[in-house]
Amino acid sequence: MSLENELKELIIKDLKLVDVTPEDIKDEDPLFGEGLGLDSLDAVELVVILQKNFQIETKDMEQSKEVFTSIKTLADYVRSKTGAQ
Amino acid sequence: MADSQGKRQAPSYGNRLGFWFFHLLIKTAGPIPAYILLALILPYYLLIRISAGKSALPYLRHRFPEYGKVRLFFATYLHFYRFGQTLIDQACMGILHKDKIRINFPDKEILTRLARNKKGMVLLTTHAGNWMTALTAMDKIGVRVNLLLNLDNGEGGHLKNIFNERDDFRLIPPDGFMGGLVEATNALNSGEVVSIMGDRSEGARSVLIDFLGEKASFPITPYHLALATGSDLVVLLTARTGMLSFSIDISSISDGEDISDSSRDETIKNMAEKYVYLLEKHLKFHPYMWYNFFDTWNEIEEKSKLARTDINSK
Repeated sequence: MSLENELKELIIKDLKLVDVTPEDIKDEDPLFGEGLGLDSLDAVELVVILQKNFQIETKDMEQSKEVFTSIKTLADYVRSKTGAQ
Repeated sequence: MADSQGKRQAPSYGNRLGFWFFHLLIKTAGPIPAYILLALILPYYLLIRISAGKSALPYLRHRFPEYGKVRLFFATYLHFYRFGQTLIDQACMGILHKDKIRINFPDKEILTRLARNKKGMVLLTTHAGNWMTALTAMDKIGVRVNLLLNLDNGEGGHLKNIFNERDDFRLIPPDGFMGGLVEATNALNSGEVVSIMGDRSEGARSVLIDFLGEKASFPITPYHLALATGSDLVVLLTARTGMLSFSIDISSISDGEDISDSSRDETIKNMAEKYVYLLEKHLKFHPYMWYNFFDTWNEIEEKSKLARTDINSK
């Protein structure tokens, strides 16, 4: 499974997104606001997902703004931190 | 009242000149003349700034449902007088320094012990009593205390320097990235304490809880933070007990254990109910010490739609 799909499944499961499948989420769609429609409470879960599953912290807020933009930016960040493919 | 982004703002209870004058009075003559001046100008203020006075009515009507108009007016006066005294005491903290303030905080050792578990702690605070000043007493508990607070106004400005000067504290601006929640989550994951308000939704997802006889809206953010990070959740309530004197009570209402994924909404609602129970109990003994000034009961329609899951129907 690609890292992008793994992230999509984690987000759907941990954020309890109803009636959303990994196929519904495009890699470059915005996660917040328009797009997937996540909000700040979901950002809490995203931080926890990154830490629990990839042991990655997101301490730099400027960087976090970029990282939390889309599935693609999230996956790129995970790859840059873990070397995952 | 709403800002340019449509977000409601707390009513302002003073202007720059007023704060400056009270500051000067406290600095030169201490708090007592400031209390007296407050008592004298308050009737004028309540009559001129009717909208400010009205902002207390939703709470006072629920707290004193048997009151008619005349008694409500006097209750409003007393409410604002207590609030003004609290602000004067708060200013004294910054102007006269901490050793002039008497803080009765019998459970600080318990809080310290919990905080040193390093599992993270959400410190659920309330616009009650000297709550902002009380946070300065959270120093030296062994871990850093992060304050998800906006102190960029006349009322909180005196304390901002105190928090900024100390390593024990860090201010997280709620108007930052994701409302400061990413920073708050990081802090909890690092075993630190995060202080967050529990009695004002302000556009956040919320849950409806019976409060003083009617459903009212309370934010779910504190509970969500605690459950997502496995942090303890401790309620902090304060009361002004006299001139430059106040007490702090804490109650632990969760150890951050989520009973199961499927019932997280229910867990959140239970936690919120425990908090509201403690708040009601506090207001029974300190009826003029809740300074929310939002119509918590009238936000139901707007806020209930913001919950992604149907937490309010359970």
